[in-house]
Amino acid sequence: MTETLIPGTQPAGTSSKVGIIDMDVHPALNAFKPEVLQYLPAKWQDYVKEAGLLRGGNPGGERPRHREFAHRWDAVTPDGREPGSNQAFAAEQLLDRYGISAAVLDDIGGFSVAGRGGQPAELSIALCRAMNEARRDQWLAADPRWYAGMTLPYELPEAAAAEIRRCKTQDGEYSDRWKVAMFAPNNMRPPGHPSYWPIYEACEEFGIPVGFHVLAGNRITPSGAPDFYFEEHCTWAQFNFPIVSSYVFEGVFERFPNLKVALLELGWSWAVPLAWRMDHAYRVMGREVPHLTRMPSEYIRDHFYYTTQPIEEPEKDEYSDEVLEAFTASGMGEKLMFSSDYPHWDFDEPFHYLDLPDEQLSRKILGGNASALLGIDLLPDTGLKRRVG
Amino acid sequence: MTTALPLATARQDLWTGPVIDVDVHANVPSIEVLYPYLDGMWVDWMVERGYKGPSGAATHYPPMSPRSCRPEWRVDGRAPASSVELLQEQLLDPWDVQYAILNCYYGVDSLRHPDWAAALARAVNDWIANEWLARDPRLRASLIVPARDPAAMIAEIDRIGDHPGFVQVLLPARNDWLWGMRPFHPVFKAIERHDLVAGLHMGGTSDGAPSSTGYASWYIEQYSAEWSSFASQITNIISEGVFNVCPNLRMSVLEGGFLWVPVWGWRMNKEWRGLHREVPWVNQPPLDIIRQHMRFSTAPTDAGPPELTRKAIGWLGSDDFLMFATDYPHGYDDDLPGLLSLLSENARGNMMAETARQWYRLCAADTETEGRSSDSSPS
Amino acid sequence: MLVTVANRSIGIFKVGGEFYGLMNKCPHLGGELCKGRLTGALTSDGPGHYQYDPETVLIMCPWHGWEYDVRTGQSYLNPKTPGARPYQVQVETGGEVTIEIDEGKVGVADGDRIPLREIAPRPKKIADRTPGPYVAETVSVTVDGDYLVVNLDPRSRSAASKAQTEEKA
Repeated sequence: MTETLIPGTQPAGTSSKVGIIDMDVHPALNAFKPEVLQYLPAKWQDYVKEAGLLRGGNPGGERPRHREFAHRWDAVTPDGREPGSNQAFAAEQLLDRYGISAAVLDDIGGFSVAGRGGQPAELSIALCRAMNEARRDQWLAADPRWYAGMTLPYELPEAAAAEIRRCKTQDGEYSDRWKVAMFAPNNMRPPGHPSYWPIYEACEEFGIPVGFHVLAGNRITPSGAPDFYFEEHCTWAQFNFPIVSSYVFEGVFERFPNLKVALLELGWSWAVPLAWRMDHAYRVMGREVPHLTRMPSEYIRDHFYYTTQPIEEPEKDEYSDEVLEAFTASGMGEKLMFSSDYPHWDFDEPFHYLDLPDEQLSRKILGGNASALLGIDLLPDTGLKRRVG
Repeated sequence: MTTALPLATARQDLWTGPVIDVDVHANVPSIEVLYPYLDGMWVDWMVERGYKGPSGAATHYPPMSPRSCRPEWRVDGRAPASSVELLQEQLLDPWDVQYAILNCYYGVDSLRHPDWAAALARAVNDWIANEWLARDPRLRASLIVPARDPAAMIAEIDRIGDHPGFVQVLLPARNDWLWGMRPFHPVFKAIERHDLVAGLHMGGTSDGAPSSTGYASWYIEQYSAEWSSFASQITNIISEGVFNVCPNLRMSVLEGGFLWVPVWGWRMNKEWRGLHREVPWVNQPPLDIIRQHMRFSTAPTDAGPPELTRKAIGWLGSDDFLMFATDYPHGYDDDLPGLLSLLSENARGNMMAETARQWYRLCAADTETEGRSSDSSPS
Repeated sequence: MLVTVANRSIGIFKVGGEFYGLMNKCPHLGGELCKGRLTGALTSDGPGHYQYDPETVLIMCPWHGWEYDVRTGQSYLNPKTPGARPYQVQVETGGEVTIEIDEGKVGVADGDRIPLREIAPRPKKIADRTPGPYVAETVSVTVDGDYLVVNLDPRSRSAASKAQTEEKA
């Protein structure tokens, strides 16, 4: 793969800043908040007041987070309110502080309405639209550096495709700020299933990736719900296995060769041995899936993107280098993208990977790969300076 | 090539030292072979219902899939791996194993009636004892237990757990509940008390979709994602403090692979440092707990390019992590010489026999006696 | 409470009548450690059992929750890793009240006076113990090498008030 210059940066070896795009930021908007509900048609506002939302509760029960909003304690707003509830404070504490060119907002609170059963279909559709409109008016409109994922009623694929089209063609100046089609990692069916393909048609039409983010929607493990938040937090990483397996073996990338899938806060190092496993399985059982024309590892290499947060913390420092080398040697170096997960407690600053021996790799991870995936230019002379060489 | 010996290659060309194969399957060829081991009432019960056996095994091993049986091990008119003679001819003799550990995954977990499931489990264990263990001194076995009733599980472990041929209790990787949960703690105590190993093995029946996101369309899709079952079970067993309750408990992880374990363990360690207050009995890093209390079989290996795989094996952080298995009769695309070449010399001998020998309390070939040590600390 | 003295951001804690100082930077990934919360030590010998020791005061980092003994800076779960940077706090009496400064990060010049709150562990009733009163005091703080010199003025003690650090760190 030839080296290409990342737009908006200087050639390697100069002392210019490394541009940054943050792939994962969470505004404190969810479907229970008046700021969102106000966008609903009146009849649904009345309905929600009386009948509530999410009457089914959390499948398998709940594991309260160790902090009310699973937040950084120092991200509470200056007036003592929920982290992520004040756009200007977030812009200052995150975008300004690190010189970030662009940050992608996603609302994991949307999963509770978008995916699970437990509300009327029409309400689910209306709520997703309300979430998107609230995000647009309260965040996108306030600062051009914010971009957003779209909350979608993904278990109603035609309606989800319609919402994508609405956001991308009827939102005026904001149409180009919608960058990711958000799914939960716990769909009713594996996401590669043909029933979801209308959504991927819309994604290909507008050149946007699908995004998955951690949260427990319908089901967490194959053997039921965990008891502990600690355990849940670890177990999120196994969401990846059926997701990747489904996209590959259902032949989604044969039907949609330009579709990309971004896995947010879901780790990345697991992709290396999983690709190996799937190739071995294909050599033994590949007859079952004649619609595949390539090895599974090739589909993985070309179509999946990953974010850096939560940063890998292996037992030895040299393993950090080794696992990143294994990842890039597997052809995935163009696919890793910085994310902060602001304002959550397991937040990462952009300093990791800033000072890699391979400067171009640093530039790709911190901003270049996301820039290429989402079509967002890095702002000139923004970001962080490398602290080596 | 792989775990079936290639044509015209002798086992000695692959490895000259002792071999202990920790995952070898015995398949029940038909429900009728179990009738002699069941009370008459249960035989009548099944004949009346036209019952042919639990459906769960085919979920994991579709009978005609190349993964369920290597082509060279299929014999016309015989169910794969269904008799000790087949096993001797196809595996034990050509591989010149010192020991092989039989796992009979019959899918008893898919049968819900608590008493019927318990009876079937007893019958399978007696069948294994009489028609396998009694007929080849190289064999040891897992005993199987019903999946949902801890009291019945403990009763079966107490009934047959001291039979010298049984070294392990088979726990399928999927279940209605995660294995570490408190109702199962007395079961682990029983396993520990009898100095048996808890064998977490591919298989099992979940109540609901066997993944976080519904039912896979394709068998290869389901199989590839099966790490989810193993990873979530291991995480739960550690989180629930099973190894606090049973400090001497050993666990084998069979047919789950192992190259995913280091990156999983790093994440667990990282989360633990911030969230340990919720599970304060987890008093050391989870990956250390894995190294102390768990061993992993090598079938499947699922290796990648040699140099990357060598690094990943280094991340295991122990020469005492792996135990060789053919997983007869299941089919894989594994390369034993390739794997051996990536290990240190010490690790090779451990993998091929010595780790399993310690883990399962098996004696060396030149000693007559064997038994479970009264000092039953792991490794 | 946090002070910036000689370009260093330092948290000052009073535990069991003694003063302790910690550099306001978590050795894990650089979060502002002293904006975290205090808690006691929690251990367990098995599922269902809990041993809570409020005498061992730990600061939890506001980011990833790593815990450090306030008195020594030692990392609670990673005893082999670098701990938080402790400052010895030397207390001297005398001096006058001149400035009262709000809680939070403040810039302080050598010799300035700043309020110091006594910070007790999370107010839990354990056995017969009840949470102690919170006392706001003004002090002067100087830095001398590894020492924070805290100068207490006995005339400055104000009425007990609820500590705000517990509610919003």
